[in-house]
Amino acid sequence: MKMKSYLLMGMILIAGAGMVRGDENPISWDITCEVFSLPLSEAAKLKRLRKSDAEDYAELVRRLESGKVVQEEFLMLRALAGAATTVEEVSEMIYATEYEPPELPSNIGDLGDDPEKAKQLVTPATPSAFDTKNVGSTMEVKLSKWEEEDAEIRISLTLVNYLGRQTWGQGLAKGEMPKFAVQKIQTGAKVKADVPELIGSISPPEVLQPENGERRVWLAFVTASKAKE
Amino acid sequence: MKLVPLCQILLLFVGKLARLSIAHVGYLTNDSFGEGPWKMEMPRFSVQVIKVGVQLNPGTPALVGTLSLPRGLQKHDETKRVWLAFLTVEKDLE
Repeated sequence: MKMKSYLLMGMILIAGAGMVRGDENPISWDITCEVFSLPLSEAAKLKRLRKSDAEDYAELVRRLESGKVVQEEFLMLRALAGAATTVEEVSEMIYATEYEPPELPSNIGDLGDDPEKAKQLVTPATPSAFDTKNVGSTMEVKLSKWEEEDAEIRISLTLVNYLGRQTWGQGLAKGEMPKFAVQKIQTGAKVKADVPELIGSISPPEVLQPENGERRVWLAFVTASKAKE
Repeated sequence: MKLVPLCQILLLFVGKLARLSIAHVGYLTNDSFGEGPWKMEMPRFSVQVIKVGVQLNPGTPALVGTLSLPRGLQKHDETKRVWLAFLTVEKDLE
């Protein structure tokens, strides 16, 4: 009981120190991440104009109504300087990563003359180890430095799609493994308050691209704003 | 066994600052592996989690972030819906 109390007090002190350290008047920031998709040729054309990220963002928002640009993702969280923040919108999928091979018991007794009976005693490949994959969207943000009108952030955005199962082996030695498509961007950026910043492209792999038509490029923007209390 | 969505909120205050964690968990389905008597089943859950730091003013709702359903659970024929989580704290009047 005492141990639990000490642990709880320790956690409160550590968390409190993390929030208060180095800033008498901390500011909350809203970190918004938006992902837009557009045909590859249009994305290239847009970037060749060498306009600012804010202008590119405004252009993409303007084109949303035309249907050529699609908003693929919208994630937002409120962050305090120095603290790691996370938003997860996922389904946790537990899947087999290892299989025990098929086995025949070492002692099968007397089966008479029928070898077919022995076949029935073989155990098939059996899942023996499992792992968990977060299927969906995850964003992690850490606000490392902040001033009156700008801030430095570390951001990680991961989009995971479940594509189905792959089968390996055959008959009793058959094992199944899931197939995932992972889109990930992990970067740091210096952002100005209320100014959208392009953090990179996070396009889906070939299997998730449209079957007919042009490949699409996904562009991820992050906007940091001081929270209005 | 019937599983119902679980929502857990943890709030840790230091003055006007708070560390907030909201977790909304729902049971989706069972995934099976292997065959016959050796078939194994594992549950699949939807997990919506947000862990943030916020500065609070009593009585004023604060938007803490998005807490949307995972893409696979959104309705296919509709635009993705965004869930927004707000936190309001009130001073205890007693």
